[in-house]
Amino acid sequence: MRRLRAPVALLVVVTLATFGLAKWHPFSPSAPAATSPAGSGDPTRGARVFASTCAGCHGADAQGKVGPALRGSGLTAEEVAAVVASGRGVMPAGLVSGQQAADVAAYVATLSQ
Amino acid sequence: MLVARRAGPVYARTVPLADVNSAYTDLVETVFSSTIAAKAWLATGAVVLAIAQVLTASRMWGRLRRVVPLRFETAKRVHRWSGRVAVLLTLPVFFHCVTILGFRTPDLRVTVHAIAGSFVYGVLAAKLLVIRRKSRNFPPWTLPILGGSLAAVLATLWLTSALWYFTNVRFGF
Repeated sequence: MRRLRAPVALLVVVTLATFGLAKWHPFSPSAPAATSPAGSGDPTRGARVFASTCAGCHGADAQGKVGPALRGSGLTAEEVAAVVASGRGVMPAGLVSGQQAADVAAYVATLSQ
Repeated sequence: MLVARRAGPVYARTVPLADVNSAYTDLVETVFSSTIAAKAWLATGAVVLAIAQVLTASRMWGRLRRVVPLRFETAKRVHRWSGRVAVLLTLPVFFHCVTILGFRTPDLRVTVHAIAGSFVYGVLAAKLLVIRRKSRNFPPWTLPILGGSLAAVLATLWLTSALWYFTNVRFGF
C-alpha cells in the first residue's frame, strides 16, 4: 500500500485545491464591478436575452416553468439584476452579466409590474 | 493572485477580476446561446470521449475484442487522443463552474454535482501519475480503478448537469 501513497496524496491535494478554488470563486459576478446599473438597461435588447437565456426555465412568456413565474411578480429592475448577479436557489449566478444583465433586468421589470 | 492575497478578499472581488465573467460570457456566446448551454454541450463531448476511453482501455486490457475490433496500437492511440481532447473540453467547463459559479449546495442535484466536480481533476492527476511512473510497480488494479473512477465521476457530472439541462431547460445550442 506504500506504493499508492503518491497517487492518493496527489488525488487529495488536487481535490482540495479544486474545492478551495470553488469556495473562493474569484471571478464570481457578485463583485460590484461586474454589474451595470440596472436602470441603464434596454428592455428591447433584454427581451432577446430573455428568450435565449432565461425562457428555458422561466417560460417564453415568463409565466414560469422549472423556474418561478416572473410576469406580475412585482420585482424591480434592481431586484432582478441582483438575482441575476448572485443567483438564487438552483439558478446559477452570472448567467448573463454586464450590459446584458441590465437589459434583461429592465425587460423583466416591465413584465413584473 | 499575490495582490489579492495581500489585500484581502474584498480587493479580489472588486477589481477587474470580476470582468473575467463578462469576457468569458461574451466569448462563449459567440457560439452558444448561453454559458450553461455551452457547458452542457462541452460536457456531452467529454462524456462521449470518456465512453471511447472506457472501450479502448477495455480493448487494451484484452476485453471487448468483438465490440472494439481494433489492434492494440490503434486502441492505444485512440485512447490517448480521446483523453487529451476530453480534458481540453472540460477546461472551459471547469473554469466557469469553479472560478465563476463556485461551490454551491442549494439542492441535492447541485450538491452531488459540486462534490463530484471537486474530485474530477484529482482522480485525473492520480491516474496520470500512475501512468507516468510505471516503474513504481503499482498494483495491477490501480489503473483500471482510477480510469473507471474518472469515467464514473464524469458520468455523474454529466447526469447532474447536461442531462438536467437538456431535459428540464432546453435541448439546443
